[in-house]
Amino acid sequence: MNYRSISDLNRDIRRWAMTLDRTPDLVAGIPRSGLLAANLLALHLNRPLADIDSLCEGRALASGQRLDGGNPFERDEPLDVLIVDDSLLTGHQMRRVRDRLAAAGLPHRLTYGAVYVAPGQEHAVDRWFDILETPRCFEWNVLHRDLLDQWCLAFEGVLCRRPHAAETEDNTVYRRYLEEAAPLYLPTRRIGWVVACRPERFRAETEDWLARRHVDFRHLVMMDTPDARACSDPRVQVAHKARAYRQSDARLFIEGSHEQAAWIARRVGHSVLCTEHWDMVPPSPAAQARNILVRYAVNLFRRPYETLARAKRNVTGRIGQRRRAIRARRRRARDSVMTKRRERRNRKLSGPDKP
Amino acid sequence: MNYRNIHDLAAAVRNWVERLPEDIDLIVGIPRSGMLVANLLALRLDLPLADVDGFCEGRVLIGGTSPRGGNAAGAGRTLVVDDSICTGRKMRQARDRIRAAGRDDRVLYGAVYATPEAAGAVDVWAEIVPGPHCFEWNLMRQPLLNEACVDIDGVLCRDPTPEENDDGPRYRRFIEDVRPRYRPATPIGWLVTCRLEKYRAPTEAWLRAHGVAYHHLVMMDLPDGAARIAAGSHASYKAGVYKRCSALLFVESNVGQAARIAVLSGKPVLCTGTQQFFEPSVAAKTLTNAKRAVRQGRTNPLKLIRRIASSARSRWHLWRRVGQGSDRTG
Repeated sequence: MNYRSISDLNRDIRRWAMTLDRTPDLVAGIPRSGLLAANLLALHLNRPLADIDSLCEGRALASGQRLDGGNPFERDEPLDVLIVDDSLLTGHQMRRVRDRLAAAGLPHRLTYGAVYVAPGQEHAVDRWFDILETPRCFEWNVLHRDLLDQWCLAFEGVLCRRPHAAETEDNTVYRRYLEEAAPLYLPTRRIGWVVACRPERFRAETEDWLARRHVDFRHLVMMDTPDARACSDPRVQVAHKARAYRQSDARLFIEGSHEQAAWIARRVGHSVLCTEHWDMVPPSPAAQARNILVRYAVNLFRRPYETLARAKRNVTGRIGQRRRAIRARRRRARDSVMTKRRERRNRKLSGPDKP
Repeated sequence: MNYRNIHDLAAAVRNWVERLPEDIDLIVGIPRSGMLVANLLALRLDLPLADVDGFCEGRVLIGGTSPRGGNAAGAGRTLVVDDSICTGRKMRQARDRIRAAGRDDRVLYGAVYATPEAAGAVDVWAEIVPGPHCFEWNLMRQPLLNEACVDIDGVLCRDPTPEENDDGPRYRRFIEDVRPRYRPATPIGWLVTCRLEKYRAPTEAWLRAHGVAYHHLVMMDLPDGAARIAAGSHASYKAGVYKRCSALLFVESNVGQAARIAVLSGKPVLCTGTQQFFEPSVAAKTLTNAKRAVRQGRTNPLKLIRRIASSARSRWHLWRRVGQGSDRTG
């Protein structure tokens, strides 16, 4: 799972802003998440920001207080506009925006860019910063994506706060916690597996809490003990979560505590996203290798032909990935050489004018 | 000096989300830095986002897809946010604007970072940060630059490559033609560069051509590049300049040099390469402050008294706010 946090995005945009060969007059963002990328880029370049609607109507959202200042649209001349999205996967969205802007018949020089592009989509945009393989997820939309219904999510620590030690002692107090715990992060899409560390007999209360907060889910996995106190032991919790993660076909587990995330990743051999620091905790290479070997052994026994076909696909895919990365690196090197050549040529052309 | 980068901002917004009232269904950003915060909040909560103008005219930038909030018009409250509140002027302007448009019922005003004095002017805030502060996202647009030393190579433009750095025609061409990286919107107090005094004319021409305003340009007074290499560390030279002038901040691109300058000068240094902030040790800071107070007491006692009074006021407000939290929801 390729993951980028907001700090990663900011760092990449900062580097991107430094390597852009021409500074645009205006940065426009494609809603929803493209607006965040555009916002950061506009701040780093100190240029005004727009969204697609306001670009069509000739308004800037936040004009940069430059020395020469003012609304760039008042200058009454074609502008260099860079239209930015955070990531490009299929290019549908970008094509829709292109069509829309072409229909609007704007006089500006439009350039399209994305911070992250999926491999093979590099030609769909004029500028991009990095190639990002699928599957991928981003901090700014991870809880609001349709893919959420193939992922696991911990109940305590992500959806609501953890119970205090005292709250698990007494049944009535615990019941009140179950009913009234304040929500932390509420996803807006259907969740695949909600993994709750609470006894099975409180299923009704838990489902009621989720329904009241409009949280939709496919499965709710609870613990098979009658005792609430036993559920609050971290070791028991990790074992429970790791089992749920392994038994589901989920490819990502979203967990509240960083420490437990590391344990789960080590046990299962898959990545775990932790919402405490919002970083991806990868499993150790050994755990990953062990996990892959076990999976292949089991599958080879169950479905030999499919497994062999998948193994072949995986190997060729890896080779393709490597080749694409090498090609991208070469292209970047070539581009920088071309830029230098262009600069040198421009200097030669403009040379005699100078005193 | 308190510095916050975008990493800190994202973390502060994350923590803030948990404490915000649940019935918010629209986020409005105050241009321009407030838009960034509003954007982060809107994505995090999956709510619609608007700018102040758009809100007054009933437009949204991005719609929410959340089944909870958003489209149920008039059900919840609107949160108007800015990145920081210092004097409260921008917030007041936005408030007046929204009141004039007649949309100020059920509106909540908030800022991520508030100074202790101004925290009362907003309904919700995420973190109290005593001034003076500076932020990564508006570093080059802050009045603070008037009282800062800024390096040229690496900050305002890229560093020269080894081939370009030949102390001859190629280097002269680099100085004339290099593309600016940041264009500060306010005049800079001191431009401190390791370029030699003999390149003053082309450097000044380049700064003028790209509209960089400044008060002083400090260059190395050495005959040639060989002498510059013989003279040794750039960091100690920059630290010397920084120590002697009354600047409050040094902006440097190289991490190693930034750390060294902070140690040598006893004043804060910001590194733009990694967005790290280097604070000097407490002892060095105290010594610098004391020296500054003595100097100011001799030259301008009134200013010193005013500064002490304002700092005491800030401490008092900070002390009063501690433990109070920002759970007030208006």
